[in-house]
Amino acid sequence: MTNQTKSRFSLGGSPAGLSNPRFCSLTLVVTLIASGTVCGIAQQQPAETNTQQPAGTNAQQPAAAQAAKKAPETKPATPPDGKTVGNYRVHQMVELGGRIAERSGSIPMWATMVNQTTGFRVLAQSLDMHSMNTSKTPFFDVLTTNSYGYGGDPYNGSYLNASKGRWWDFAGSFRRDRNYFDYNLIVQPNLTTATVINPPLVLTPSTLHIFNTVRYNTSTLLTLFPVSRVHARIGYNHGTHEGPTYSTIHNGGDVQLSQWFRNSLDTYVGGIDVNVAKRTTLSYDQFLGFYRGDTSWHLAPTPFVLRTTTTPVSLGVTVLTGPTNTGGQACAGNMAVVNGVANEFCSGTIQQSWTAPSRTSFPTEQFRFVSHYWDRVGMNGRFAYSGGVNNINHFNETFNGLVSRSFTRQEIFTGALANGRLAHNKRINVNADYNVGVELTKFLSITDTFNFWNFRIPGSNAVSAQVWAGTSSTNPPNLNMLTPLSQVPVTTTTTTNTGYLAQKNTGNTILAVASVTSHFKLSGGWRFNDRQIKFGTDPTLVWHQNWALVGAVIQPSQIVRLNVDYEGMSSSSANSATPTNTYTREAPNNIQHIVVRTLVNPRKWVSLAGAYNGYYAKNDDPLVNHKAHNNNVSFAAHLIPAETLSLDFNYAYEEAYSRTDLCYQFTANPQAPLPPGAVNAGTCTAANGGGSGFYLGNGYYNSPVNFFLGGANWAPKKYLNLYGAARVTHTNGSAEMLNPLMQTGALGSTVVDPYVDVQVKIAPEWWWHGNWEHHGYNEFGGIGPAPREFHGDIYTLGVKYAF
Amino acid sequence: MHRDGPFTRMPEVATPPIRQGLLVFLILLFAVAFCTSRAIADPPQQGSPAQAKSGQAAPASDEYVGQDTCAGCHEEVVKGFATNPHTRLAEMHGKTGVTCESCHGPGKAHVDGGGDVAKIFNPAKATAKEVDAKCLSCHRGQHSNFEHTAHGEGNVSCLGCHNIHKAAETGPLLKATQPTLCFECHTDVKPEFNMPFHHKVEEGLITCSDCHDPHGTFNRKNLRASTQQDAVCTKCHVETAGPFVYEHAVVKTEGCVACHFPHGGPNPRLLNRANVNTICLQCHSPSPNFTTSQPLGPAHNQAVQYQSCTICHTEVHGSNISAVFFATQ
Repeated sequence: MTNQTKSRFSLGGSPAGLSNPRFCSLTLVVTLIASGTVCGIAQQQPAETNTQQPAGTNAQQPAAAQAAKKAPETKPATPPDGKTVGNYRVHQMVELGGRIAERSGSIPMWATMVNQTTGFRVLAQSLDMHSMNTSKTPFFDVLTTNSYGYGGDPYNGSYLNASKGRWWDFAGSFRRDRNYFDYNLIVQPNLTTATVINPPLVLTPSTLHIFNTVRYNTSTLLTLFPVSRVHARIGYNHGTHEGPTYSTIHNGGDVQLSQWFRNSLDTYVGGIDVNVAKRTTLSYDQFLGFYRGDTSWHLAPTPFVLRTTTTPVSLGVTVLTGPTNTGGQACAGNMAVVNGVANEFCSGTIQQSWTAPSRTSFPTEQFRFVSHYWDRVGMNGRFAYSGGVNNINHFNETFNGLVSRSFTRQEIFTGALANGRLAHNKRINVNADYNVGVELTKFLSITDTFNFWNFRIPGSNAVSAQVWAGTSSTNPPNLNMLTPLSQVPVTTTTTTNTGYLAQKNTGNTILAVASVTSHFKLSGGWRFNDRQIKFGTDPTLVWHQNWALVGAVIQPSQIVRLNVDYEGMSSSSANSATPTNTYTREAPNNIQHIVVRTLVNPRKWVSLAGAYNGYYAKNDDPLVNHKAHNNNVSFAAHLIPAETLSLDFNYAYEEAYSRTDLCYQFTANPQAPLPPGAVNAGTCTAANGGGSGFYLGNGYYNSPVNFFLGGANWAPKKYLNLYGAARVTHTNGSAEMLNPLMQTGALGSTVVDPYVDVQVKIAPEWWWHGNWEHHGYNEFGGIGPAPREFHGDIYTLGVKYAF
Repeated sequence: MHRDGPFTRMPEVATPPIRQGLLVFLILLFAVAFCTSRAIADPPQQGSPAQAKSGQAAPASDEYVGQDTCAGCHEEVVKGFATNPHTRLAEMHGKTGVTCESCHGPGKAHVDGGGDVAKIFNPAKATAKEVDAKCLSCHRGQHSNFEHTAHGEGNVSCLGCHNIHKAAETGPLLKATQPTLCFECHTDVKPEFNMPFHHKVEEGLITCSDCHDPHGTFNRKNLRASTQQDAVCTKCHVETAGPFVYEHAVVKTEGCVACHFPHGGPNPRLLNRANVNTICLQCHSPSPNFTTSQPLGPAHNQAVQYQSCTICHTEVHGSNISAVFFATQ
């Protein structure tokens, strides 16, 4: 955690408690293990003399055949590298050390992009255990584990894999990532200009939506009888994302909130695969997902207090200050805060709290099958049904303060359903996919893929609102933040609302593949998609999308491969209720996408790769004029000219471009003149739904990026390894700026990261490790509220013990 | 290091009886399956694709020579195989199961021919189709989409990513670890993970296979899906999944990539524009025929405050309280 992120909010928690589905899951696990154990004991058979061959053959192997194995010369298997510990061959490595981080420049940006600190670390750890005699290792034959980054790195993880022959496989992982974000150009409220009346507003050096959260993910999967005709799997995944953040709310003023962000997802997986026939497998998976959303808010710390009290009060993120003490007077024409004391007659917030615990269950059933029963026909498919249910329980939102424009003194909102429930939502999802491929001849095959995806989301809420508000500026008289609630009329209302969103995609892709020669393969096909969307009470909108697919693989030898793939899409309205060719303005109704990749290995020690990825899209609605393209040209080389030397080189140029007609409001003033070329035209005119104060913009965005990476690894001696590299990412972009104080920020930036790594063997099995990384970030646009450049060096020193 | 958070509580809805019955059925199904001793003891009889296609009879048992014979010439390869997951094949059939010859075919002719390379299946010399057929003869159940998706159709073949005998990552037998392996061909993606704001793939926290299944899926770009069959992004960014009373329709219909770069970009929060307002106004501008332009966006003076739409419209992925995604009613 960085110096400025020393938040030590303790984590609350609700009491633990088992519940039926989890108990059932545990019962399932116990039953499976017990069943497997019983059956495993029952299946302890002596070595058979007449056994069938393993996968790939159908032949028997009578005992007489054993004699053939003795000629020619045979050698007993030699053990792999490592040390013998008991019945295991063991490799182990542990590296301990520390990092020293020195930085200058923007601390928030260092924390956002690098977030490395000084301190002791468990830099890395690994353990490999392989059984020397599986009959003497009853619990596991193979166990591997590795970890990195513990002790203070912003991200760390651990992995564990274990297996016991044909009985079980286990894979588990734990990953943790600390996210810190404070990029001050985003959610910057005070990028504005002075007006004739008001002095310039204060620019906040940080974004209003800082977050300092940690994400954890634990994943486990146990597979039983992995190589058997019937095998099963059980898994559990837990993900949590939590931590203190800031948010904002629009209520009178724009008020900053302290938000404790907390979400978690538990997913249980159970599945079974059964080989029912030759090369045919049926599978069933059951997923149970449980989501908890426990994010809550309260008023963020504020430097202002009410007159005559010390009650903290927030006046919103835009604050008008001045030297004149005008407390106790009407807000209009006077300062809202003077010397830290807020005028109680101005809009302000004394309390703003929000809690809306969200609970969602996602049970999902999935059937799958795959078959290659007939040699020339392969097919696979799946059907999945998910019925998610969400409830927002014990909802409470409380505001206390003053909203002067509506004479509101206090509001309390609660859920109007039972138990204070606010909302009840569902997500019903159905997927059905099927593919069949037929090899018509040795040179020609056809595949057909059908896809069906339908989801619908009905939802409803019921809100009970208690509002303490006057009816005019004189009722009650002199209404302000200090007015007792008993003097303010209160009304209670209950409102109900519903929402609905549904989308259905039905598509089919047919592709013919011709192996013209052994070096040249050509494919061509057509994809069709029927897309239907219904939102709320709007009529169902329908589009048809047609794709042309062309591909080629040119492989003149084992050392060269060239892949070319092209797809072109056209979307059009498909019913009278759908007046447009796309659902949204910025979605394209025409796409051209070509990807060319090549891989060349002229020598064993040379690997070259290159790619061109060109994406072109447009929405040619005359009031939209959306155009977009992404062009990427890249090249990579990996050379190993000597056993002790390897070289890496990467270069890429990527450009993302987009423009779309859009409208914005702008009231020009001497400090903020109209942007060049702003006119009330096109889609912004009143005839098209706009207005006289709407100006036509183009939403222009262009981000050309040059990326370079060069590195060399040199190991001149067995006891010495050197690695040096440098990475540069240069973005020279531009975009339409609607406000004259907007900055390009990272759109015009350079990131430079050179690094060097040295490893020296100081004794048998002992290595000394040194690493230096530099992180440099520069922008060449305007500074904005505060500079964002930084430079820093991270020195890592460690000692590694490995055998 | 892992701090235990609140233990997950069940949602306050009664579990429908059908769910309990389903679980009971599964328990019984597993018990029956596991206690079928012959079915569990014997591996699947897939048969060799080459044999099945040619109609040839399976090789006779005396055409196999065993791993120890292979070690006579290929000692280093056999030595390294002890750590290979495929060695479990040797555990089969009372520990007489074949390993090398499970993939390379019977070795007697190769041995009798003095190491004649023409008498043994060499994946390094085989076509992509032959390699795929060999591997999928066992692994088709796990990777049923491979042949009809990008890698299979593109002749990448299993050996494009996997090396059975010299794997850098021994579990999945990968030639190199992620993302280095993927970047060997996908050179166009590497720069995106080096842009100022990116998913931490280069740092090793996230892998390409967290979002993409290299063996193929039914989705575009081999993307995985969440367990509830929603966008794969919601595996981690679960708070955006909803469902909500007031859905921001574009999130569910156009996908997260309508507003975000999935890999990385020069804009904060991986947005596909430097200016949040431009993203919103692209859709929320007057257009008579587009229903998604409602509510209209240009209601605020861009010359002064309200610099960012998300100061007020904070719940842009969906809300249960406000149709315009305010945080309050």
